Amino acid sequence: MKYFGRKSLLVGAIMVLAAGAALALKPSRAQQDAAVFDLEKSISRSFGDWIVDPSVIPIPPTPDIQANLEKIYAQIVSRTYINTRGERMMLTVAYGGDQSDALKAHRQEVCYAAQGFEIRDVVHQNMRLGDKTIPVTRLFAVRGLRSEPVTYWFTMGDRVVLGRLERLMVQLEFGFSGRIPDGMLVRVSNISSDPARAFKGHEEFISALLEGMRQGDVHRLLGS
Amino acid sequence: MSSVLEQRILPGSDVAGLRLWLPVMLGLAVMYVPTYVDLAHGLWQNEAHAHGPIILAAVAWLVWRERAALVGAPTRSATLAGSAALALGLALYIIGRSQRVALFEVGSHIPVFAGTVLLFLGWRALARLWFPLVFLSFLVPLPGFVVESITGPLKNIVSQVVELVLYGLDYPIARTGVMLSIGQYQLLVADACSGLNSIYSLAALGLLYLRLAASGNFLRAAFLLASIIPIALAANIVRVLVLILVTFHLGDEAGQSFLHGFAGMTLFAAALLLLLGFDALLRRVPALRGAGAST
Repeated sequence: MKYFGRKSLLVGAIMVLAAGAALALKPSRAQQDAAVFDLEKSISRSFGDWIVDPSVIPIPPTPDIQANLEKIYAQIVSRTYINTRGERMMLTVAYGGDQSDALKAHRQEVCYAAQGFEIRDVVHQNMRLGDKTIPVTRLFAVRGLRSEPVTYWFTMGDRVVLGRLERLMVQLEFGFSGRIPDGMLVRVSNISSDPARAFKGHEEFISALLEGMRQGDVHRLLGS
Repeated sequence: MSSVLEQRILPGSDVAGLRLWLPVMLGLAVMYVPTYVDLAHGLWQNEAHAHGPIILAAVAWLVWRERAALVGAPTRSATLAGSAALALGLALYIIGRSQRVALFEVGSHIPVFAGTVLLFLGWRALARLWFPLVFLSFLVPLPGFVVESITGPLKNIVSQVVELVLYGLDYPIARTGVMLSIGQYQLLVADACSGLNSIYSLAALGLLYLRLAASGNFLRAAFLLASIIPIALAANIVRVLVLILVTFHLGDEAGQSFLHGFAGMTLFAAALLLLLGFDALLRRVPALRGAGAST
């Protein structure tokens, strides 16, 4: 004992204990097996008045963006729907099996800005969907002649989260109970220069989408 | 630098002093070596944090440089403050490492090191080590909200200056936000072109340089520090300008291969040289020469 000094041994031992504690507290259980559901199937290609627009050929993102997306999301569905009045809606749903990395937050206002859009009026609002109220983020993205109102939200674990801090809290809460939270990003947008009307349209579109959905899939999109 | 040369090899009595540190060193290694392995596979591969290993090496060297003063000096340990700092650091470490919150895991370095120094050596030693401790903060990943709030405005400045310059040179250029159109080409000023990545690395190395070469001369240090952001911005403006001109004159393919060949380190080295060059200029000003050469 004398050789090293008692305090030194004590502090060293505490540090080793801390390293051990960190190892023991690592969550190991994925919240759900990503393979048990197929996003492509759980989101129908036609519902209510809406059907996938056959005239729109999806343009894949550039390879570097694609690689980045694949790193973050396990499944992505990106479609353009059209209704009988000829109105179009763009829907993107992305699922990530492991959202525990705090850097993975994908705020859409940042995404759009990075694509050269000018972002106007980012607001947080509550959207009523059936018997649920979920906090969504709305923004109006403009690039040249293209103006695109966007409504989006994301889930972390079993609930919809708005900001980074909220994500971190859910991550820690899940993590210390041994689970790895997953996450879902849902984004609806259309080309319109009238944001107020467009946002109402988004709400009706999502309501129609959810109506035809199985309960389990609804929980995945909205949190349970 | 003269003080380094004057230090003799430790006298025999101090070897016992160093031995005292062995269990603590071991404890720190058990905690942080896995962290460094993870960082080497993740964050440090990112351009903005590629300077991480350099920071670590520099901190180790800076502390080692002070070893004689630290081990030899009479110490009055600050048990209460030291325990508190260490406890906070270990808690951050446990949360960060187990839940993969890099900000906490890497950030824990500062309270853990400070706490250990206080426990064994006390406040005076901590004061001697202020620079390596502050310097450690460059190891910490930039929080997302900082990156997001800075990247956008920087990109705008870069795009605007590039448009202005090329317009002045009579090129057919137009700009919408961060989208530049020249001839038949459309180029998007990417996040990487904001210069934020190089600003962070350049600030880290610039500070180290200041500490070693210009400490003691406050005015010169202030000038150098203030020049870091404009230099990093200028380097990135040149990068975007050259990229656009290559694309316009030689085609899209040449532009892309240029982008991958010249990005990153070359640009960073150029910015660092600019900084050193600026300092060489400053040293010619008599008022700024002062105590600059000594450590």
